[in-house]
Amino acid sequence: MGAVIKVENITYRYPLTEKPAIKNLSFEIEEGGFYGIIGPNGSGKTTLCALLRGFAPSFYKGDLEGQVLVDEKPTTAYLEGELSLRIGYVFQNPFNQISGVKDTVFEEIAYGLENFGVPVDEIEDRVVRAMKLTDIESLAMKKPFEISGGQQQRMALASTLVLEPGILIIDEPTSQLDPEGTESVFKVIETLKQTKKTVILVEHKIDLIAEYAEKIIVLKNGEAIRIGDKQDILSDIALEAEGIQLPQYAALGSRLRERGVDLEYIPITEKQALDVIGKAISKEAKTNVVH
Amino acid sequence: MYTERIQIQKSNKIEAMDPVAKLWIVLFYFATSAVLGSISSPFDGYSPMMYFWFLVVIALAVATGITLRFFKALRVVVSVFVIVLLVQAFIVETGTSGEAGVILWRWHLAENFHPTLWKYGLQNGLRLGFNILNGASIFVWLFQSTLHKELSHALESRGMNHKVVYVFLSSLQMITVLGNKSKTIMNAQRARGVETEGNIFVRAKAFFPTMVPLVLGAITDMEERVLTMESKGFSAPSKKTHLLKLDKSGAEKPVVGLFIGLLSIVVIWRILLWVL
Ligand SMILES: Nc1ncnc2c1ncn2[C@@H]1O[C@H](COP(=O)(O)OP(=O)(O)OP(=O)(O)O)[C@@H](O)[C@H]1O
Ligand SMILES: [Mg+2]
Repeated sequence: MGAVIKVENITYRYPLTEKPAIKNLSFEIEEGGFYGIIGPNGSGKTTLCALLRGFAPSFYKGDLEGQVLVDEKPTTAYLEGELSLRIGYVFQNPFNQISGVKDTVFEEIAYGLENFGVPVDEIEDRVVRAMKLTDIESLAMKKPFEISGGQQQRMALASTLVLEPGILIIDEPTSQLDPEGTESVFKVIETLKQTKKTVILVEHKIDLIAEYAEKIIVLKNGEAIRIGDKQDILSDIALEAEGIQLPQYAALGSRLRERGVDLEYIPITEKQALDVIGKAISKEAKTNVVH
Repeated sequence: MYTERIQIQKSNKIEAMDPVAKLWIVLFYFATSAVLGSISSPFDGYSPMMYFWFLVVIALAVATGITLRFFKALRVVVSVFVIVLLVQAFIVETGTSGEAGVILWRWHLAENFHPTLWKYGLQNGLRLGFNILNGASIFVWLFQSTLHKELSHALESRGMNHKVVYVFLSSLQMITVLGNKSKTIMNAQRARGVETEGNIFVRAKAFFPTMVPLVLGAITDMEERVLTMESKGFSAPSKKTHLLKLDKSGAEKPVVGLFIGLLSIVVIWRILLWVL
């Protein structure tokens, strides 16, 4: 599968700032891939998302060197609204993503379709599909402002998915949510993995990234200090020294290794930890029997 | 099936009228009031017709089948009316300076304190009060019988800019939402020991710690809001579609016609008064 987004040596400065928020960045987003973007606060994750979607520089202005190509065309060459149908974007704050002009969840999700002039008899089916995918069909007739944060965030996801974008950018969707809301949102993200969509996810909860992403981009001070497969990156204990939090299982695994436990690989998820530690224990047991 | 459920259901034909027809009614109502107001009575220089004109709105509200809602919403206006009337009647002695005021009634409570009911103030208060009541009540009728989304949809489909319509609609929704949010902030500030209840000074002091997070939050949220709207195709060049269907109820022509009729009668009356 080909690259849907190409980032070609970009450096970006917000207006009136000296220091670039993104520096010398190049990479490609493959179609159907699931990318996790991680990094400390202020490292440029949101800025990168805005650049991928074309919000920067078109909305934020500022100064961009290099270019971002979406389907081989620079983001700056797209017309207003055109990229919305190609790239969906979900923001941090669910509250801010409510249009404020619709009385029901159903109508709120349909809003984008109305704006893009989709025929009325098509709208209902598409909205129902989006509600099913995000597990909020039971809320269809509720008021958008009167549902929980997690439900609002799933409504925001549905409002985006209903436009059927091939690429989805999700920036810290759960930072404002309680654990329950977080779980409900990630259940939806998990189902997205099964569709053919390309997903780019920013998330501080590193265990969730370890669970869902395939490729990882690690940002620090606007630079990508690592880009690659999640297994390599999230098990790289050297990143801890850079201030990057690793999954607790990776930390546990490398501590065990330091103590001489013979782990086949460094686990990054619970499943892997159970697997690799289990193997190590049975190996230990066998060698003990031989002695 | 959801599309059917979100449609506006109204059994009363007048309530279900096209919002634009209702706007015409408001217009003719005001035109009629203006003409009526210029027909002065020989007694006090102010058209007593204005006192009765108000009954037209009540009749309209009853015919619309929203009597209860109408009077509930009218309560605020009525209290303004009462305040204006009392203040004017007891304070304004005369219209022209130098002329002595006519006392209707005076209560000798104490040597330096004798509340007085002034003729001019009473008349003036009635005039002002009824102007307020007449003007406001027709809008109370309009908004009690029309949903915001109904009105904005009707205006948009008549060619009003969708951005203007958005500002109108979202502000109305935001007022309620921000109201709730400020209550939440109030509670949080109270938990931190900021006094939010009591007399006006105490409340004023609480106002700033409440407003600052509210306003700052609103500004930082703005970017996300704008970009979300863009993502939802708000300014997409395509022609928009609407799930909401607005049909005429059939009462538009007779009711608007009635108001045109009222206006005509009043205009003819006015002309006759000139001629005769
Ligand atoms: N609108 C803006 N104008 C100017 N500078 C900005 C703007 N938005 C962000 N920045 C700066 O750009 C840098 C990167 O910010 P960005 O929001 O992309 O970081 P982030 O990794 O998303 O952080 P967080 O984890 O807090 O969301 C920061 O130094 C920030 O101060
Ligand atoms: Mg961010």
